Amino acid sequence: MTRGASVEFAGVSKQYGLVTALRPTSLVIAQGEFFAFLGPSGSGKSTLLGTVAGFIPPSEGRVLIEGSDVTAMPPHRRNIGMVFQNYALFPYLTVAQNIAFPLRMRRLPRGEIARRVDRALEMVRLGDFGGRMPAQLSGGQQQRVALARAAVYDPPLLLMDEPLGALDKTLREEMQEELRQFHRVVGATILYVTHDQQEAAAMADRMAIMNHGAVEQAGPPRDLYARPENSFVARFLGEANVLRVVAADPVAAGRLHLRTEEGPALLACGSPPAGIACIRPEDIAIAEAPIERENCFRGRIVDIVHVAGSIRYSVAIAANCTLSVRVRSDRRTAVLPMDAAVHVGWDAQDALVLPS
Amino acid sequence: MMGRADAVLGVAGRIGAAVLLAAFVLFLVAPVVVIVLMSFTDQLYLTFPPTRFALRWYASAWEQSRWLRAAWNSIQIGTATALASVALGTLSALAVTRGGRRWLLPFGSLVVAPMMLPHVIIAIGLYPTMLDLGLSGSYAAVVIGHTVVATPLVFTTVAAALRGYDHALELAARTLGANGWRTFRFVTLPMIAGGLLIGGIFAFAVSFDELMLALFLAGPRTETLPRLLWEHLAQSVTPTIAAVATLILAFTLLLLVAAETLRRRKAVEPPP
Ligand SMILES: Nc1ncnc2c1ncn2[C@@H]1O[C@H](COP(=O)(O)OP(=O)(O)OP(=O)(O)O)[C@@H](O)[C@H]1O
Ligand SMILES: [Mg+2]
Repeated sequence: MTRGASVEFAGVSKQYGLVTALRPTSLVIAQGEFFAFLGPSGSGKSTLLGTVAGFIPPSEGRVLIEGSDVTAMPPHRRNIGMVFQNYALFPYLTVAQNIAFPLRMRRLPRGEIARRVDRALEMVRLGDFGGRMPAQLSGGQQQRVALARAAVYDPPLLLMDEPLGALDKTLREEMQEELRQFHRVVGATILYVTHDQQEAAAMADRMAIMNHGAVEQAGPPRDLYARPENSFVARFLGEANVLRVVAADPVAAGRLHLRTEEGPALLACGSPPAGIACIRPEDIAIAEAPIERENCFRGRIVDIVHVAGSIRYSVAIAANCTLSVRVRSDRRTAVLPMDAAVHVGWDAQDALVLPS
Repeated sequence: MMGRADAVLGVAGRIGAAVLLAAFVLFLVAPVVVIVLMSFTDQLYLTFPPTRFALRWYASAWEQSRWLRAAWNSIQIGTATALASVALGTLSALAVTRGGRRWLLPFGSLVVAPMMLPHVIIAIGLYPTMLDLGLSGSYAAVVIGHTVVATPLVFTTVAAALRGYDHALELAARTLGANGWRTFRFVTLPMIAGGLLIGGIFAFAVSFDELMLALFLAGPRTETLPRLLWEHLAQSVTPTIAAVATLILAFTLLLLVAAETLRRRKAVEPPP
């Protein structure tokens, strides 16, 4: 098992003329961590990864691997493994030759190369495929070859830029499981770029949410979901009912009375400045009778969506305020009818108060 | 709904196509056929149609050392031109497609410019230059002239090959431990080998058929086949000329077929 390498971004930024691809970013990733970068298209995820791989020289700042500055080191000396979205397998080499490529570049003896290639093929369960050309493999198999090729020289750091982006949903979930397994076995640090939040949450120890070339927030997936620091993170992870606050009056220690642009006034836990209030759909209770919670509103069901394991109601509680409410459901759950007059409610502590 | 207008257009289209085909046959194919047929005459002068089939004019060309020397010159100059334009064309294609500098893009148009320029203009420009350099009439002069007009072909085919695959292949090689040179040697080169070979064949063919630059830049010692043909034509049209022209035609066709075969094989499977 390899010991994973730590990675540190120290004020790394990237400027293409007038385009800012990456704003100054500082971040420390621990040895052996599975760290995901999550964000919409164009948010700078690949740019950040490129500065670690060495393809993209940062405009400012330094990148450190295991504490040593690699900012000026060419990519081939960094001893990093990288898996690309479209696999980037060499089409004119067989599977075994592809996996042998990094070993040949390291001038390992022939026997040693053969032994390691066999072991890598076994690891990704492609033992019989060594003689095939990449074009003769399915997408999932090609991805496993790419993984074997990036890992065969035991690099302490692996970079993956949307490695599962080209696969269909079922295969993607299978490969997620396999990658996690791989991470447990190999022990290398993994920097993983994706724009699929479920993928990031399912796999990563920690993740960074990126937007407009900057890290909005970093932390374990659960923390980011439970305690987003701004509305972008709140909305980007899962669903959130967002209400704009027009006035916040402290009523007790750590409790605010909020008036909102949308109409409803509510009680929430938090402290000023209060820009918005977010309530997760699953934190809202719904019933025909009034609900014993600190915040309770009357409303009308305007939409019902059934998803696996839960029902999502859209409940209009004011002229321009419709809340999304999610309740767990099984076969015995009674479904409220469309247009029903209902009550929705939540406690003050269920509402997140954020500056903006 | 198929209206009257459509029907009329359809007929007009078919007539147009027929006229084009007729023109193609009349102006492009017919002269070639006439030359080829005339080269097999047994008469002392050009006749059409030939009366009897004979190879005497091929034999006569073979016996004249001047034709042989010109053919050998053409092959040498063509080979040198192909090598030089492959080197220059590949380097410029790499710079333009992989350089990652915006100012390099107009450079691509600059490289292909000689393809648009009339050869006579290039010849007029190169002639005094070669005189100054003391290269006039030398092999180097002709090779330089031909390289100027052949490089765009290599540039175009190699640039197309380079644009035809994901740049991530090279980035992958870099992360896997290959330095710049080995990335080129083990990834870029195998990926563009087909385009490179085709470009080289085209470059050879261009040099082999080129007249204008050879007229200005070649000397008596370095005269090429097209130049010798031209000289003979100015004096008298003999069946020998038809025979030589037929040989050049056959050789060029062979090169084109080779290039086309390569291109198709490349489309089916990546180069080994
Ligand atoms: N070579 C370049 N020249 C100019 N702008 C660039 C260049 N590369 C990236 N950018 C810009 O930098 C920004 C960040 O790009 P980046 O590729 O890092 O985004 P990303 O988060 O990986 O997006 P995606 O999810 O689409 O891959 C984008 O706005 C992009 O247009
Ligand atoms: Mg990207």
